[in-house]
Amino acid sequence: MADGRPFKVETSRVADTVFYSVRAWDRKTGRGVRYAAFPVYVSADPIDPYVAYRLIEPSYEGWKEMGLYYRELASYKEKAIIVNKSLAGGCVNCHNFQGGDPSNLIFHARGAGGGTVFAKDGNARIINLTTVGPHKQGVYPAWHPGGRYVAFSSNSTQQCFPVAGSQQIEVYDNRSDIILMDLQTDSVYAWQPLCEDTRMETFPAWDAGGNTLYYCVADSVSNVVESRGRIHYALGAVDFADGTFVGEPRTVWQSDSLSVSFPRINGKWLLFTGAAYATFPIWHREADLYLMDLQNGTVVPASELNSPDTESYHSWSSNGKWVVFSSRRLDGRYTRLFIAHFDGEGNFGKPFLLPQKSYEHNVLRLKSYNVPEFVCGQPLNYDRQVSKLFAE
Amino acid sequence: MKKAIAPILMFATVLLASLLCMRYTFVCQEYEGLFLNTPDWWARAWAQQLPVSGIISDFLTQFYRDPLYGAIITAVLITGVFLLLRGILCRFGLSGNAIAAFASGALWVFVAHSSTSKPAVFVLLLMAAAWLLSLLFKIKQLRKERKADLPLSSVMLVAAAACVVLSPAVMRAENFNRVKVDALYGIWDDLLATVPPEEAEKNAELTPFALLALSGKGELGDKMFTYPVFEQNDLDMEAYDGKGEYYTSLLFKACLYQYLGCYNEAIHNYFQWSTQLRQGTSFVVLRRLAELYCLQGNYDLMEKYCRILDKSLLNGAYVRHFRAMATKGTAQQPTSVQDRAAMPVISHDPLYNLVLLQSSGFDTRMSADRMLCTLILKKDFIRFGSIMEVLAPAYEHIPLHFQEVMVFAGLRSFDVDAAVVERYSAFVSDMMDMPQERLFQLYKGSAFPFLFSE
Repeated sequence: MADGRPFKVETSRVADTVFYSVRAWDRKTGRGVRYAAFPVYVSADPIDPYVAYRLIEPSYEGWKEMGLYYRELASYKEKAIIVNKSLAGGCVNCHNFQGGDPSNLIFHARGAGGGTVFAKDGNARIINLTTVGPHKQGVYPAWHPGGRYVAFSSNSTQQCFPVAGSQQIEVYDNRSDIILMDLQTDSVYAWQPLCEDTRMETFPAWDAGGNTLYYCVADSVSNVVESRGRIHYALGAVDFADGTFVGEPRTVWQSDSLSVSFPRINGKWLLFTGAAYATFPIWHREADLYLMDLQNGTVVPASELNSPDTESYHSWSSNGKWVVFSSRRLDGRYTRLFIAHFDGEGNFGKPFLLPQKSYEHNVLRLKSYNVPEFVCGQPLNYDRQVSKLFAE
Repeated sequence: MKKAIAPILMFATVLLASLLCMRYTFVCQEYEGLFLNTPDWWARAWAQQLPVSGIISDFLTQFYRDPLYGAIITAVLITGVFLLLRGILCRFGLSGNAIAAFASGALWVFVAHSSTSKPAVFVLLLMAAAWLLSLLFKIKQLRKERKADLPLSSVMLVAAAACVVLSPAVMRAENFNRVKVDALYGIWDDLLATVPPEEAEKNAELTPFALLALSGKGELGDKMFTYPVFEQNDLDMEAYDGKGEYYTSLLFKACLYQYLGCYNEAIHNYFQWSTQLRQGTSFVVLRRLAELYCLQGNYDLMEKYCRILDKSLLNGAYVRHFRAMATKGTAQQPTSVQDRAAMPVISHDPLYNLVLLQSSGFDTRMSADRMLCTLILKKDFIRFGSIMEVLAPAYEHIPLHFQEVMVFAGLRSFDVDAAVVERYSAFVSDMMDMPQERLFQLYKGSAFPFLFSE
């Protein structure tokens, strides 16, 4: 038991429901207690077998060890995709599998000699995006479903530290644009309407057909730190056809009281993180997940998923029936992963914490889980290859 | 019995020398070490180079909080190497006291200069394996009894002890570690005794810690210029050069902001400091985070760190202490969205931060003193004057350096001691006909040499 008492669990199954019955000794009376059985409904919908994430201390400007890892959901096996030892302690971040395909992966490996690592079928290559095209750094990626293009936001990100109060860090962008990379030609393309100085565009995400790019957009301000309470990112979109953006960018949804981050599309549903202001919701206790019906534009809080603490990054499973999201509801600082079922009609099941071998695991782990993504197969390890690429 | 003389001498020498010159080094090794019975700790431990030695070393280091145990463990390790090596040599018919004393003495010197006991553990394990292997061989008759063996061993031992006790690097490390311990726990008198002005002159890195101790005692405004202070960085350590200075600067700022009462910034710097540590965190960081979150009323996080510390052997008392503190405190309420959006933020300008602290409810004597001293070091007398106007009523007696600045800058709206005015006149007159070096020596401890310098 969480209080350290030994316990025994009995299970019984009736159709799609497993009943758990717990027995333990009562410390006060010394007598055995049998708690009322509680049901767990098992969905018939399959789930992708792996979740990939980054493990990093929830720290400030610096770090010691971090890495991209994956976890097999049918067991407790956790293995590294890449750890930052391979790049002399640099930063690895913002991984993205194309449609959950483990053989198509991109991530950034920062540090001297670093850049964006493109891994395909076990072969990695590194490109420093600042050296090609418009010389903009790639940050948050979105891989086009067709596989040829990757949209990146290019952010100039800073942190600041409130002198008092329960929020200890605010992360913000001074500038941000969206750029497009063509993997066939390794060229990078900046389309002016998504690179305006007067606006900050970030968090790109494609729809399932790859015909529309969604993103978050806010007006640029001169002093972001002082004005942060007034910055509300809207949800924007632009059409895409034959390798180019077409038409004019449009605002899909905006609010004076919510700032949109991480739009993720699943058919007609778009799940996003809404915070009271600014762009980095993980440090915002009020940040919650919201579900938008793209057909009629209605937005409702995903109440089943939300808690009084932070909910932030999220991604859909390949069949759209599950969502994995990060939340700080356990202790307010160390992000943990939760999984919930989605019925396709706008309803989520009760979320559950990513199961661990020991109930203490989430307390004892001193790292946060970042950017959880479902993966359809077992990812490979790129430590050696990236280490070599860095050495070259 | 005769055989036991050399190892006893070895053990006693290492023990005494370690107690003499490495007490705080041992304590700091525990502070910056970590041994936890958690899956992540074990996974990391097995992934390091020479994992078995590393794990044993980390296990042993947790006892170093009491320097006596640190000295005993070091003595056991070094004597163990001596005995094993001598045992191996004996099996091959060699009289091994001198060789073993030389090798274990050299190892001791090396360990005294390194930051963990891992090398000693590694060599001990290596020797143990070699000794086990040597058991396969028959004992050979001692070729020739060497009468000079024991005296020679003693000479080796004395030489090794001299290399440890008299080593400038060991002394410097011990001094710095003592300063670290004093700064972390606010033992100001001991810190000032460790870093008198003469010591700060030799090691400028220690000056900010001495000034921190002065501000902790409320004496910064009176005694800052007894130390070699030439610029703002001597006070606030904001700028750094290289990894070593970065490490020190982060530790300094973590302590500083904790004593200033700005726990958010203290936590920020402890987190940053921990990234410079070997394992990415340590016992002292975990204990400090538990304490700071407890003081903030964030009991969920405090409990997390307590439960992690519970997975170590010797932190039970701390955990009980923090939990007891939590029962007496008030839980922190989340700051409202409006307040968060408008909350001022810490900058890289220490002066701005001090002004911010003063206006954000952290208006302590310490922050006031440091703010005014920073303005003196920046020679910003206009702002000094206007801030002094606000703060002067809070001072029972205006500190010496502030009075000196008032006289120098002509800020006569406050009472200045007659002695200060006289000293100012004397300085001005001496300035005309005294070489600068002598003048500065004569007025050491006064702000005037600094104020008149370019």
